[in-house]
Amino acid sequence: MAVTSQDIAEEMGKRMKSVSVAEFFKKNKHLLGFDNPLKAMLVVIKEAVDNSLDATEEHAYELKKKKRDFELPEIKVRIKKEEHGLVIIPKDDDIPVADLVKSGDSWYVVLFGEKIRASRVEKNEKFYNVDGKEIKLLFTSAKKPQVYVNGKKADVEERTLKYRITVMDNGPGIVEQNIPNVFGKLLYGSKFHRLRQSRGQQGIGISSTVLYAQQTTGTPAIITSKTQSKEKAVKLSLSIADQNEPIVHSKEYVEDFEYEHGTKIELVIEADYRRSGNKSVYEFIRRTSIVNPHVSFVLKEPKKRKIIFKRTSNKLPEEPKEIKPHPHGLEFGQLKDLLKITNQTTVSQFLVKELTRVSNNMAKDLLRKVNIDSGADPKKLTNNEIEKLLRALHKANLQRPPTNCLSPISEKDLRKSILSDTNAEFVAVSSRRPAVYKGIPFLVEAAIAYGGDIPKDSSQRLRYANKIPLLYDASGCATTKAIKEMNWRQYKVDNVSSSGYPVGPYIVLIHLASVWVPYTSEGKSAIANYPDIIKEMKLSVQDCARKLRMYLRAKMKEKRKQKRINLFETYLPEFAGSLSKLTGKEEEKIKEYLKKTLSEKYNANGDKRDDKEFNENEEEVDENDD
Amino acid sequence: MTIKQESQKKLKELGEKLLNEIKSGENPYLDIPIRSLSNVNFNVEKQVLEIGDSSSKRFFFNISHIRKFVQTMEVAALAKELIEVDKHLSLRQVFYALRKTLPGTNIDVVDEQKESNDAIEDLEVIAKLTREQLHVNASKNGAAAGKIIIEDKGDRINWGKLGSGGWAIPSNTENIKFKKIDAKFIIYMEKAAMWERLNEDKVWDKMNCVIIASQGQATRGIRRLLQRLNQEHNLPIYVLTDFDPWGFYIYSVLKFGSISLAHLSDKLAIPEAKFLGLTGEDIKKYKLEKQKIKFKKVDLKRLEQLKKYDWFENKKEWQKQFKLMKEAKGKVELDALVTRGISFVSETYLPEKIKNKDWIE
Repeated sequence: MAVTSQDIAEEMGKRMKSVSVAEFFKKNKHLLGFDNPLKAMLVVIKEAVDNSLDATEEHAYELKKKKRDFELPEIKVRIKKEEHGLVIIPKDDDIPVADLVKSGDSWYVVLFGEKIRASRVEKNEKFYNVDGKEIKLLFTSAKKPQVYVNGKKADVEERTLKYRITVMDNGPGIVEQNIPNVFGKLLYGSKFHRLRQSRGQQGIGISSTVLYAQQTTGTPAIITSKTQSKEKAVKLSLSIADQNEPIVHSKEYVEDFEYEHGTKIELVIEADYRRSGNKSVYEFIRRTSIVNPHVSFVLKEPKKRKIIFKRTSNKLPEEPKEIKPHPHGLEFGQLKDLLKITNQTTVSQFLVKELTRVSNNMAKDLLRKVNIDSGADPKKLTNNEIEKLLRALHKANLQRPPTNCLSPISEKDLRKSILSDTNAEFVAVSSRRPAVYKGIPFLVEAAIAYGGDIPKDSSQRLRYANKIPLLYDASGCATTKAIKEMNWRQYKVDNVSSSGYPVGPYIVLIHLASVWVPYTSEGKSAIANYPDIIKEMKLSVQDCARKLRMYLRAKMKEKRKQKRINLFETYLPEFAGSLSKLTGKEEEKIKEYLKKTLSEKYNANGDKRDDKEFNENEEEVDENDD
Repeated sequence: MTIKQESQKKLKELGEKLLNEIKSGENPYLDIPIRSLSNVNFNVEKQVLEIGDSSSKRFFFNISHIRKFVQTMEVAALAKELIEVDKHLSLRQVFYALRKTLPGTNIDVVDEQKESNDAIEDLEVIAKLTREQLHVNASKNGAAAGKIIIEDKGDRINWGKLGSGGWAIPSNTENIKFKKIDAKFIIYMEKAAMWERLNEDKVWDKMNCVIIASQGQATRGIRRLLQRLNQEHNLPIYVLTDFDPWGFYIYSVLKFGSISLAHLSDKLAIPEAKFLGLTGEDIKKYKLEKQKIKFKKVDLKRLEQLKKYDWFENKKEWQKQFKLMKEAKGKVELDALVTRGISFVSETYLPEKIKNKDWIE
């Protein structure tokens, strides 16, 4: 029987099927930032904290608008070791036999995810039969048991651990029927289609962490949430199906919830944990608290470490207003989507109502130019017409977008917050006026801190986007570029690394607030290099650096002055001695005169007298000394 | 007023000036005449170098002045003490006397002898006192032999009876008394070796003169001694040097005075001194062309400087010598005359030159 090409095509057609979003991300974990266990820990906590911050703030804004009492946000993060894992490796073989896991106080041997019970227990020994091998665990006083495989001693190696992450907030809570979609469906959310400064943008964050937990440990997420009106909190156990649909495993109502209202998410994930360092959870929370001074954080870590980051401001930041898209920033797909979902019945009304800065006359003008009837149904525009309309919109001479959609930290709060974090000797802050890139409003804030508790040997660069710290991919980030392109030496920073960073007790902080942050990837760890953004960042950091230079200059001047006084005081007795010998005047009397002159010259108005002879050559000499 | 009283008075005046400034809360300062070419003038009438009016102020309350200020004051205090007890210290000893550590620091008042030497020279111009008046001596250097009898600290010394070594000239010749002078002139030479040659030949006996040498530039003691013999006893001074810029400059210092000691020209310069050293013409005359030693860059540079000094600029004979020297491209040492005979200098060169008045002024 001959095989026709028609048969082959049909055969191939049968093999083709659509790939669900959930499936796609399952295979591309790195796109969401789960590249390695250490980063996975951070991403999970970051996503949960982002969500909590947005929820608690929005809640407070709503209550404030209704002139009702509101609580300032409080977020608790807990990291708990779920399983202590070891891998058993026989002496004469490199291939691991099984995993050894401590769960609670008991030890288990695990093979293919299945816990195997001990077949025999004798005194301090436990025996297991695994895959035809006899494994013996000998418990001595040491923390780890000694392991024998078929009577031969085997090595055990630490393996990636499982952690239980809990993030809880005092936000509004989520109504019961929405919980499955919020946590169990990718790309579901309220933020994607609106333009307002918020932490989350696409609605992938939190559900991707649920997916990650599901994949690495096979455990569902546990969500507990309580709204003000309900007496009990609802507790759901859920996971995500391949078709990107939530599966609820169990549901119960519980009475003990810590807050009157709020949400708690618990995830068991495969991850790694570090107590300190640039990429630790501690650092993430610390940095988050610096730019969110109105939020209180509690971090509970393994080994019973509990850190409280108290809020340094009791004021809620200005609420960012939601804005309609500005024509200059529109892209084809976006415009097409907006035309499709609009409730407006004419194109001209669509332009005026759904976009910002387009007036009635302007809309009519634009449409006339591209030959589209201003009364046409927006849902019925052809691709060709949309294309023409988009080009005309891009060229239109329009006012810049409104900027009340942005919520800066404010210079005052930023300074207070940095001071409380670092006990810095000097802090300069700068909050720029809003600017626009591609029709999207944004605003840059920067700060430089110097001295105090900041370690002398390194400099910290704190990068933020919409009040969330960025910990990874620093090299590709616009903030890094802005810092590197500065001529730091010009600002009295003597020690500059070969890559252009100031070295010493410095903190350089840059915050980008925008209704749409252009991240370089879905992992949201670096800001894309838009020239308009880099320019604003540089201006802001330069503003701080100028203030730093003034401070360092004054400090150097004071140091020099002290050095001069010391020098005069050193030579003073010698001069008094020789002059006393020449004139017969008592040495002590001469010393007194000289000391009086010295203190008058230097302390009259906190600075030395404006004597020409006093200043002669001193700059030159001091430069050499330093 | 004795010299001693005058010195004490000047030092005390300096101290009182500073004390008044300190009492009225001013920044005490020392007024130091500048001792460099820029502040040296050539007095055509007197034919000597003189120090100009430029001075610089050195303040106590000035971080770049204070160290030198204190060093100068230390020297002043030390000099006052030396004058009082009528004792002398050498430059080296002054350095050690000043070398103490400031209390509570690791800073020494002086680190090297140059600092104390400079401080002494500064004090000389500030207080208008010579080093000798400050009771500071240089190390002695130089020898004399010839037909003169002197008295030094009560000792009578006949310069003609001191064998092969001659009289060692002290650093301070101010108080030497000339008792009996038979010599008709003085020959000063820049090298001790030549002096020994002439002494061995008893030139001073044969020519009825005095021969004096030091090593290189004449010390202050020798310069003062020569000036006194010239001015007090009208003895002509002949200067015998090599044919090179350095030799010419030794003559220049003796005759016109030096730049750094221009303030002492009155006591050191000998405007009547005559140059009896090798000239450009002598090279041909005595067939010394082959004895030339090629000039180095530094020699030529020095030659250019000499040419432009005020006191040489308008002197035809000297400009001619500079020209010949430039053309010769090399120097000729006096010692080269030995090629003409062991005693050629004493038997031919000197008698001929003096007889023919073959000198340059």
